Amino acid sequence: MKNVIGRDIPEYIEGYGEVRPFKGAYASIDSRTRTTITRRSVKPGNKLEPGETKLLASIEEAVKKTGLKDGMTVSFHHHLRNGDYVTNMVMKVIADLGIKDIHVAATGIFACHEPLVEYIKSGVITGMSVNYISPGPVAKAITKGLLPKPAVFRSHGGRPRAVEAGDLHVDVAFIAAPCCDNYGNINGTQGKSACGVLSYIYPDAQYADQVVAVTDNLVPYPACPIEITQDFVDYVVQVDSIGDPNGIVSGTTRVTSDPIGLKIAAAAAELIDATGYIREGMSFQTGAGGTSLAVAAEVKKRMQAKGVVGSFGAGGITAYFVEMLNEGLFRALFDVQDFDLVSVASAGSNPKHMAMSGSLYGNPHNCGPVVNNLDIMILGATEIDTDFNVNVVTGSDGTIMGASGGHNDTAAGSKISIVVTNLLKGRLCVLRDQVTTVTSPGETIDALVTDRGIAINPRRTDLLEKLKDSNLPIMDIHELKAIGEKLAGKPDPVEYTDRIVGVVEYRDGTVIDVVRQPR
Amino acid sequence: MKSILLINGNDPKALLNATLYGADALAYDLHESVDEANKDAARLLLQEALPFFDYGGAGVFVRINPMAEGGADDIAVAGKGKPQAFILPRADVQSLAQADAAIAALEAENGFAAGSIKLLPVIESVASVENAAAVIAASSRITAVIFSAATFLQELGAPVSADTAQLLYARSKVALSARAAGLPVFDRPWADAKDKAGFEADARLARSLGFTGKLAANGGQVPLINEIFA
Repeated sequence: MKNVIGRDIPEYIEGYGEVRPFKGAYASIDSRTRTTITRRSVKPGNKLEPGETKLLASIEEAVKKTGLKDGMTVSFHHHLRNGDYVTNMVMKVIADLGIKDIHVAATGIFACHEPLVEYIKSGVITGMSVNYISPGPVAKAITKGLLPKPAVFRSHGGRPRAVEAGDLHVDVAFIAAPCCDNYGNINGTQGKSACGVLSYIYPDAQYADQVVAVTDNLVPYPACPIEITQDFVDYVVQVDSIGDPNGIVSGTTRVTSDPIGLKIAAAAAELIDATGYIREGMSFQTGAGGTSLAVAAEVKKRMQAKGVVGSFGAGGITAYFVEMLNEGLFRALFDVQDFDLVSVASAGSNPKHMAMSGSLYGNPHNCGPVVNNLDIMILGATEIDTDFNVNVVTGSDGTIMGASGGHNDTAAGSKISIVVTNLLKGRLCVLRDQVTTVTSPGETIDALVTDRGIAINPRRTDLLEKLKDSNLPIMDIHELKAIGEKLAGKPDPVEYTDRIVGVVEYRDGTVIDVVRQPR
Repeated sequence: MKSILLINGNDPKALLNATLYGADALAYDLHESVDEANKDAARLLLQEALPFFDYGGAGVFVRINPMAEGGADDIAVAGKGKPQAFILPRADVQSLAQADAAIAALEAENGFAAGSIKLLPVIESVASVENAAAVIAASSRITAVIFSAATFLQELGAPVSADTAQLLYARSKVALSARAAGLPVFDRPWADAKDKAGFEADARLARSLGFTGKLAANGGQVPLINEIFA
C-alpha cells in the first residue's frame, strides 16, 4: 500500500507487525489511553530479608534479580553519548548468561556501541529501536540486514509516546546514573561521568517493568538534587566507571568558522527576521552543529539589536544557549540533553535551565508537548525533496546514518521550521525528486535555506507574502534543485532488495517509510 | 572591484564553491596553491571548469606561474577556458612583455578578440617596486595592479614580521604608481585565517594608503574586504 505521502509500505512487516500507515502530520491528534504496568513494591529497610536490598553487587546480579530472559526488551539512554559504557557492559552480561532474542530499545546508538554487532551476529540481539543512531558499525550492521527483525526508528517524542502507549514495552530499563544513592535517587549532573540531564529515560523509569540504576558515583542518601526518584528504581549497581568523559561531552561546542556555513546562517536569520519571528517572547531551537549554532549567533545579534527577550530556548543544550540565557535573551531553557561542559554545569545549578522529559518535549499524544510552544526551529537534512519531505535516516546510497531525533517533532510543532544545509554535499545535490527515506513530512517543513538559494514551502502563503519584497535569494524549489543538479549532476538510483531492514515511525506511531537493504 | 578571492586551481570542491563568498573577482591559482607535479592537471581542470560555471557577474582570473616557471604553459592551456585576465606573479617589464605575447597568441589561436584578455601584474620584487611606474606601463592589457610582500621582504633581506612599517614605502610606492596611471590597485593577501584582527588592521591600513581593494586568501575574508573598501 502507499501511505498519504506516496511511500510504498507493506500492510504487515515480518518482525514488526501490522502497519499503521502515515495519514498526515496532525491526523492522529486525539484522545489516547496509556498502558498500565505492574511494579514491584519494596518493604521498609528493617523488614527486609537478607538479599532484599536495592544495592546489588554486580550487573550480573541485577540481570538475574530482574528475571531477564529470552525475548525480552531492555532499554538504555544516550546521554553518555559516545562515551557510554553501560549498554555494552549490560549486554555482555546478558550474552554471557546465554540469554538470546533481546530487543534493545536504546534512545541513541553511537560508534562506541560496536560490541553490539557481535551480539547481533550471535542472536543475543534480534531487534532494536532507536531515536538516534550515529553513522558507525551498528548502523552498518542494520543496513546489511544482520539484525533478524527490522530496526524501528522513532523520534524523541515518538519513543515516549510508544512507551506510554504500550507500543514499546520495556521489561528492564538500565539507567546510566552519574550520581545515585543506595535507594535509587539519581541525577545526571554530578560525578566524574556527569552528562547533564537524563531526560530521555524518564518515560522508561515510569513505564518499564523494572528499573536498574548503574552508577560510578554512589553517594550517601539522599542524592541531591534528585532527577529520577527512588520510587521508580528497583535496583542499584555500583561499577568502576559508566563512561569515558572524553566521549560524554565536548569540551566546547562552537559556531562554525566555515564562510559558507556562516553565509547560510546569515540568510536563515534574515529570513526569520523578515517573517516577523524575531519578537518579544519568541522561542527558538537549533541543533548543536556549527552551522545551526551560527544561526543562533545571527539570531542573537538581531534579538539584541531589537531589545527582544525570548521566552525559551529548547532541545539539546549547548554553551551558546546557556550564554543566551545568562545574558537575559531567554527567560528559560527546556533541556533534553547537554552537549558540553558549560551546559552540564548550568543544568545542575540554574533553576531557569529546566530538564524536560522526552514526552514533554515532543510526544504528540499528551496534553501538549513543548514543541507546540516553539516558534522557530532550525533543522538539518541529508536529503530534501521537491515536496519538502526530509530524510535524516539514510544516506543517498541507502546506508543508515541517523534517525529522527527531534526532527519530525519540532518540525511539526514549531511555527516556522527551517532546514539549513549546503545545496551540495559530498558533490551530490541534497535536493531530490524523492528522498531516499522520509523522516519528516513536507507539510511540516516551511523553508529550505542553502548556500545557493532559499525555497519556501508553497503551503506557507503567509511567509511568501511577507517575503515578496525581500532581497533574499528566494526561488522555487525546482529551480534550486536545477542549480544543484547542473553542478553535481543527477545520481543513478540506488537498487534495493525487498528486505526491509528498518521501519521509520512518525512521531504518532504510524509508519511514514521503510528502509530497504541496498543491493 | 574591491575583493579578489584566491582559489586553489586544482581543487574541484573549491572551484564548485568559489562563487558563494561574494567576491568581486575570483583568481584561480596555478602558482603557489598547486605543487609542481599537479600543474598540468590543474591547467586542464581550469580549461574545462572556467566556461562551465555561472559566475554571476564576478570577474574570472587565473593566477599563473612566473613566466620563467611555466607561465606560458598556463596561458596556453588554462587560457582556452577564456578567463577575463591573468595575474602574473613577480612581474617586471620583461615578463609582462612575454605574457602579453603569449596571451596574444592564445587569442589568435582560439578566436578570442584581440586584446580581450587582460593582465594584472603582481609587483613584489625590489626592482619592480622601485620601477613600478614602468612595470605598470609595460602592457596595454594591464587593467589593475597587485602588491605582494613576501618576495619583496626576501629580496630586501628583511625579516618577515608583524610590523607593517617595514612595508610602508613599498605599498605606498605601488599604490601611488597605480593610481597615477589611473588603475585600481590591490593589496597583498593575508594568509593567517585565524588572525582576524590582524587581517582587519592590515586591510584598513591598505585602504588608508590608497589601495582600492585587497586579495582574499579565503572566502571568510571577502565580506570585510568589501566593507572596508566600499
